[in-house]
Amino acid sequence: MKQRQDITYVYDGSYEGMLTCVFRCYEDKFIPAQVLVQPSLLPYSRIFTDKSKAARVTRGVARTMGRMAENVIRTVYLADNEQKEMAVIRFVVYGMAAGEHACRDLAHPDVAEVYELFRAVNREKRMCMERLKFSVIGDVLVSVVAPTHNVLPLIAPHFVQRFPNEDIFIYDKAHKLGLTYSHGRTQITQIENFEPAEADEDEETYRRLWKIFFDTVEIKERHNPRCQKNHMPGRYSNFWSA
Amino acid sequence: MTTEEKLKILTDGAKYDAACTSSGVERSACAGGIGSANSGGICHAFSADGRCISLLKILMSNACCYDCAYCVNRVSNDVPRATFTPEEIATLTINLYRRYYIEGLFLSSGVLGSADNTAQLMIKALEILRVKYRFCGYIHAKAIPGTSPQLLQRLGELADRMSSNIELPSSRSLKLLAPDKERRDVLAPMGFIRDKKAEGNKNFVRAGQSTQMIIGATPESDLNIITLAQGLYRTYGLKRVFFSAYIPVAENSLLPALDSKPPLLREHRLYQADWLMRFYDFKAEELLDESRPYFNEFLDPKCNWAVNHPEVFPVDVNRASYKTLLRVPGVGVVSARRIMVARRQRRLDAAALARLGVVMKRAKYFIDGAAGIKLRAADDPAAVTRELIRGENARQLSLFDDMPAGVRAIEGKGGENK
Repeated sequence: MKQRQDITYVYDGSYEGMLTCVFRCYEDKFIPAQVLVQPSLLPYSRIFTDKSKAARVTRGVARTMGRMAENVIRTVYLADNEQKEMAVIRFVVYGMAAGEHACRDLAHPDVAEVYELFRAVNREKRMCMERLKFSVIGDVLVSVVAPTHNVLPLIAPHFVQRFPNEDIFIYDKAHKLGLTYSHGRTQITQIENFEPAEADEDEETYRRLWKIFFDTVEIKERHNPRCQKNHMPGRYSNFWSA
Repeated sequence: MTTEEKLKILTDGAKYDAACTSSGVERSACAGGIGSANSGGICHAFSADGRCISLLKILMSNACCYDCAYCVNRVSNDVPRATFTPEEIATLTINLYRRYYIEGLFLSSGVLGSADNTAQLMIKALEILRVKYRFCGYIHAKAIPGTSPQLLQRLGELADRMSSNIELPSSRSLKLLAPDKERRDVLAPMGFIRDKKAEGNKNFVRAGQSTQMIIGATPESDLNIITLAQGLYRTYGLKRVFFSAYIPVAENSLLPALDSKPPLLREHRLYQADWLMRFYDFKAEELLDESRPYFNEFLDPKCNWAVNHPEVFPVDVNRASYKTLLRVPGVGVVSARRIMVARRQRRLDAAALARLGVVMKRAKYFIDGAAGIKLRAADDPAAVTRELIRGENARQLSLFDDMPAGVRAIEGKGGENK
């Protein structure tokens, strides 16, 4: 499919919206120059989210390219990256022609591009799963994080599996999203602002104990703050407590 | 004594154990319980020495009745002593676990009177965790040499991972420095666990066992050490052999002086070799031999092997077997697998290899068809060695932060070690 440099798509930023953009490429029989969420000053075509078109894309991808491709697209949608829609469009256009081989054609530029985003989101998911810390506030496990991709939907199953009988609230202040888990129900909602309540005495005690452990477990003769910092980048320092 | 004081003393005594891995088990919380295990392991933090913190690594007690010269907890050492109660350990673990500070508990101990007495206390702590709190997180328990089989059995049912430390790389050194320990006492729990696991009980020491030896306290060569490690992997089916650079903790004419630095680079090279043996299908005798019993200080063991085997190169990445791909510097387990998958779809050139994650900076000397590369390992190994050493020096400025093993909770790449 040819790319037209003079065409820009603008959509609402939703997952179905992104898939509607993919559908539109097949209707138009070309690939746009860029896909935006905010309207630009230059001329653009507005793509109105259409659930049935999105569902057709999902079905087509699953049937022709396989479940793995569908998973890649779902994950890449969560990336904070302005190129993600174009990466998905190119991946689907190539894959719908190539069939289920596409996901194994890792050296193809269009596949490599989408996989790079896929891995970046998964890396951030992993980082968030490792560095997050809870505070116990009013018997709720509370955490505030600021990941570089929208990873809340990806980390939710892990925490639910680990703490099935707890109430959990994780606030992603970068995306202004809150993950709530209570009585077996998980929910992610838009929340403009969240400030956790003060730590009580019990919470302070365990933070203090953790600090003692953390400082003592270091072997002073092996002191290597640079190595530590490489594993714990600054943007995760705010993960330490709510 | 307050919990704070105890925690400080009993963390201080436990920190020299290198094992902090939490991998090898996949499990969700049981009904009404708390905790899960992730087969890849999870590092929750990194201490200021750059080591991963995955488990709450503490001793039950540091009031040890043994007098091992290399150990900070030896009876003749003048340090404050403390002992946790089993309840204290369980409460501490659960409360830190709930806050997601840790993946679970690593429980070791000095020998409190006798091995069995110590093991009984440890069992008590683990039973409170597993039964009262229905704790399903990760537990690593130390097998104290001399513990009776029934108690080892019970510990193994409660723990995911067990370890008994071989401590020193030869029986001679062990006899010299640890008068209360015999090599066979150290190996007995290892053999017991291996045999019990072989009987097929899946829930017994699910994540397998590991061991550790101190490097640089005694005169064994790198060749001795990796040969021993290889033997332990083969004979006891260990998941990991850890190396710990000796940190002087005692003035003793048999040991390095108190002001000597821990041999970190040597430890690093041993871990790299260990990685090669576990995931890259290298044998100890391929990496070192009697004429060259120590690793090259300037070059990692894989590059070192490669420049000494020009006859293997250049490798044709479009045709070579998986095992051969793994021998190419700059190609890892993950990129080798990607090559295997991707080359069925199209011919791979240098740009494609870079997309697959191959480190071309190193690989280019060893593969066919890297465009514009005049220098080849097969033609001029000495010149390639110089180039690789230049690259390695740049990497080492970051003080081993690429260290693959020992410092991470993850034991293997791409699930090879599950």
